[in-house]
Amino acid sequence: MIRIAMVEDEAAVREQLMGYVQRYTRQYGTEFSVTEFADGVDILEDYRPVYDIVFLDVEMKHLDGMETARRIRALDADVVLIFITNMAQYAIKGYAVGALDYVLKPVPYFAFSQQLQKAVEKVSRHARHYLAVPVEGGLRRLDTVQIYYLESEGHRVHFYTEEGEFTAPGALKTFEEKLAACPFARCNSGYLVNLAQVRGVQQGVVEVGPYELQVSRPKRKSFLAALADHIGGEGV
Amino acid sequence: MTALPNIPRLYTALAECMAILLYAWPLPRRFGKRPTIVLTGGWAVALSGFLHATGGVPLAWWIPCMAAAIGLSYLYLWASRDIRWLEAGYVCARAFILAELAASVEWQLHCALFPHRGGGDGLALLLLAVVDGVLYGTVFWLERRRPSPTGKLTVSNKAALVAVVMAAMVFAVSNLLFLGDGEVNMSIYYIRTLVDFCGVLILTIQHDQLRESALHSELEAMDEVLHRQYEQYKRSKEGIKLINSRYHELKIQIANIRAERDQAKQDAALARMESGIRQYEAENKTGNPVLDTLLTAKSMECQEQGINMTSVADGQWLGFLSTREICTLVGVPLDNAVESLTAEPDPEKRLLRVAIYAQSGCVMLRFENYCAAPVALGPDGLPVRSAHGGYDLRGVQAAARQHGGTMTVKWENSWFTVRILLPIPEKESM
Repeated sequence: MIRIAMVEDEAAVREQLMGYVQRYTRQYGTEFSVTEFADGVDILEDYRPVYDIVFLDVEMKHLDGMETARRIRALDADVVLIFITNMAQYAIKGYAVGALDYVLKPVPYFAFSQQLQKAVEKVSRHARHYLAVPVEGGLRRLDTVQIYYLESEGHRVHFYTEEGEFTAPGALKTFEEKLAACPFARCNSGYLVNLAQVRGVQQGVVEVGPYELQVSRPKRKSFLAALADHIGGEGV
Repeated sequence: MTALPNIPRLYTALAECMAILLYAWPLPRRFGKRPTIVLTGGWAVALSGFLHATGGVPLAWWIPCMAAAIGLSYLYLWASRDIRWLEAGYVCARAFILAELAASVEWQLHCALFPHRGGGDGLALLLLAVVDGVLYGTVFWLERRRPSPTGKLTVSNKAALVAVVMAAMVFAVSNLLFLGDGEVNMSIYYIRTLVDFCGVLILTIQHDQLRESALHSELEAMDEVLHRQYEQYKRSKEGIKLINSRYHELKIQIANIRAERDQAKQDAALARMESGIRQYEAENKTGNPVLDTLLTAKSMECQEQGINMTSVADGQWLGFLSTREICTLVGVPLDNAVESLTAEPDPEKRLLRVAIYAQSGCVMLRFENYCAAPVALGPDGLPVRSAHGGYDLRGVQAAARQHGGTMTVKWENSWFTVRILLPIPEKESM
């Protein structure tokens, strides 16, 4: 079940979009629960990050869409924001709030369904993944987004995470296979980097969280391609 | 005539160091300032030490020693500057021949003026300073004075190979006479200087040609942007004329709508007004003037073709790209998408999405267009010939690679996507 918030001050448009969501469910089988709001003020009142996708009208009476988006983004880093507007130039600055998509009014069903499909894909990518790592005295459950990178050393693997470093037995390749669903890539044969933690790429060096790692020449091309795939697919 | 002494090795080392530094100066550094200075110091000491130590080797060893010295300079260039290995060869070849000329001229004058003084003599050192100063000063001034295209001058592999072969030839010819058993005399020095001078001349002319062709293509790209701007200007002029007549029309239309009692007719009239207004919404402000022009021109074209184009673009990160590069990186994928979309029969499905944004220290340019038919990709990851749109994305890929970035293309769920990832340079170097 994907939770949608529909923030739109025109009741007619709101109704139309609700109809589109139902039509999408009939077409693709994806179930949604939709909450309606008539203004930006309404959704922000006692806001909790429970939504997966928020459709936001740009022009609203009390609080406009851009400002609403800014405040939602401050409270919720993961939610997918999509603007609804009849003025394209109001949405072009959407990157500032991580909203890279918008639909133009009057909204045709096909454009809306494509946008929704993309958002649904993004939501499923955002789902948390946990990695069970064997450590001394049991298994350690690790949220993959917290990992900076993995380093292989003989038959052991060093983990560098937001919560410190630790070592586990095993081969880097085994962990790489377990992390296949997450955005990880090798920047050289010994390092497996969490692409979501990359802060910059300079000549032969990648910054991952507080660390700087060498990018080897043979791995450079595939690493950049993986990074492009991650950033291009993410867009937040 | 008495046998003349050959050039002191430290003189040669000085000439080499100065020539390499002269040409390396404008090139972008591979590392920060401090490591570069340390690397430069280390290389200069190593080169001087090596040349000094191998000063007395027999003739058979002389050529391997020279080759090793050149190799050292080459490694320094490649390691300290952000250039490809063939480009480093190109710079190294130019610097080496210039160093040969400088050392040769200086020593010829030395031998002509005071053949019996040694290399460490005060007067000899003064002559060294004057000759090297004048020669390198002139070359430096000539290099700086010539206009250079924005960004780095790209040296093709062919040009680099030609330069290296030319330098090797010049070096061989200029030193051929030393290999004979005959006594070294002034005429040999004279010939050496002359051959080296020719070498410098040839390589400089080649460099100038490269620079000119780069400037030329830059100019062509500028021309294209100007052309687009002119078209934009023509459009806005037409637009203003249209607006003026529309004011009048709108007034009449509003009066008519007010008077109209039928809801359906009122709605239809309002829809007509709305579509009339939409035409003037196409202006883009992204923070980069070249991108603004491109996006505005393209979104107007899309409107004419019935393509629904949406763009979210942060242009402020594109400052490190030249006009031509932005035209290539944005214009070609857009043209390609538009061409593919015009073939789509259902106007509701003519969708084009553009997103340009910064993330993780990189800038991402993403172009997506609806395309129902699968696009076959070749082994190089690009669409096979004319499989999608008619435009060649190879140039886009080359432009992305130029900046250490990458371009990937994919087709998935009826959407064709071009993604360009470019690392944002930490700072514009030197």
